[in-house]
Amino acid sequence: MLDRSAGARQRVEKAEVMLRRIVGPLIADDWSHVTTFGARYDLKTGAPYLLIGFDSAPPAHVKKSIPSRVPDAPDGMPVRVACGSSVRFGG
Amino acid sequence: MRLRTSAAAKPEDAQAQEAPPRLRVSQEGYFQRVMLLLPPSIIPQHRSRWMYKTVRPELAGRLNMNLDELQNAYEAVLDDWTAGAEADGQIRLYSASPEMVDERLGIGIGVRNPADGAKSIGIQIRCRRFADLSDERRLVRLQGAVDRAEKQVLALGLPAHVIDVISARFPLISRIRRGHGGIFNQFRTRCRPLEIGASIGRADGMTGTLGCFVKYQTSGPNSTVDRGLLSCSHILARSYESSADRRGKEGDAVYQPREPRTNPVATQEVGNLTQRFSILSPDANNFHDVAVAKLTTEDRSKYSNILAPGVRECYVSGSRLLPPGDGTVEPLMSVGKLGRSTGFTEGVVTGIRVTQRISSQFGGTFPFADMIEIAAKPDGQELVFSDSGDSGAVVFTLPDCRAIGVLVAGGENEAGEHRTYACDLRAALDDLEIELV
Repeated sequence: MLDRSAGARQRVEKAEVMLRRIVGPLIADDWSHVTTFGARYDLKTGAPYLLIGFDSAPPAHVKKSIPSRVPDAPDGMPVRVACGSSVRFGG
Repeated sequence: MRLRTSAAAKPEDAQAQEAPPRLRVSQEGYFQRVMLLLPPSIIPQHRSRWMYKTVRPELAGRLNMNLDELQNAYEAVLDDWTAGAEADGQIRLYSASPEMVDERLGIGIGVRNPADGAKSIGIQIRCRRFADLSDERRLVRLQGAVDRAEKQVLALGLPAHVIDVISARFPLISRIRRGHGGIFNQFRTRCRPLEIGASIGRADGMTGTLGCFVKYQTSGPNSTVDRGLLSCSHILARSYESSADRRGKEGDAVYQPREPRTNPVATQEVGNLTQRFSILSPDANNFHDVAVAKLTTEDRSKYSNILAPGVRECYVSGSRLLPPGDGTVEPLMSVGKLGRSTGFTEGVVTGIRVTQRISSQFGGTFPFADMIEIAAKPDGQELVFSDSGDSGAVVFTLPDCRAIGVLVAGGENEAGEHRTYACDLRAALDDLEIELV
């Protein structure tokens, strides 16, 4: 069930910030290979998770170092790491 | 959702469809909702039997089409076949979902051939990413359906090997003529008066969608309020071009419909590009992709943001598109859009404030921030929310039809799910100093 409260929204935003702080140093703050970043919501459950996408498979040490859940974030927000997208202009 | 304004982008066939997807062979004996993917090796030797040889000789042998060419080919075939055979009830047209197209460049068209009193299947196939059969096999979704289709294909004596069966998708769109098996989307034809959802574009650009009608204050000493149409900047202004010389300029003509292959005769200039368009940056975050063209058609004052007037198939028909409010866009909010390619579709917001890098068909990628991510409604009739050609469509909330975004891009995201991305309309209106009529 989606929590639509302001508090829930803030928790998501906080987790985004925390993940950004974790990933930044891992990629030497070069975000050019990161194709997507941000919270997504499960279509069935409404549960939020963070998705970080790379244009190609990230180096092993980067992938290994990205936690499956944002540590210290409220609710331990799940993190999904993926790579390769075909999103292009035109719908 | 209230978003930041852009620094980098300042002015410079509706048929019922069951779920899950499955093969169905009707009493008449033709295939429905079948997509056959063939090993590329068998195609050249049987090429003459396929529809492109018969219907569009100039397309025969074009087995290396890219996605744009494929889209054009599909439209060409659609147009030819609907024009000639729709009234006779001879054809059924099916389109694969764009995610499938993108992955495999395949379009399936099921045909009932009265000439032999039986049935036949026309197929255009090209596997792009998957080198061999074993790679494709992992994509098989419905083994039972595949087996059934295989038997049917063998019974027909076709030299085909069924690899996959997927659900077809029809645009749930206004003015689709039904009853004889054909589909016909009038948004791709000449629309007068102009309508939200109509096909538009420039002669040297891609085809997009008329998102809505806007008004703005003209500059100069005799400033007046003028009316224009809104669509994507990458459609009306070629804003993906790195060189200013190659980007659109004020006064450039905008055409409706913009269907150079299938409907060139009906094309007519309906507007001129204004200075109000986003310029896309490959280096900095973009916040919107919107352009305005001044309407040049007669009686401009009669254009209003009424959605799909007089269309029974679309339940928002006759509703007025409301301007974006100060409210927030929320996750899992129900949204809809009217687009040139897929017509009226319903979706669900799966992400807000999303950062997404978008590829251009003409090279380069463009980072966008604060995008709205949308998925097709899970229990809806469509597999995808949008398709190529829907760029510029205004995304609105349902059921109240409040505009929230402009459809910019789509495709499979990094998680392998088809998603549509829209930029925030409020930010674009503020930046370009325009408002909905």
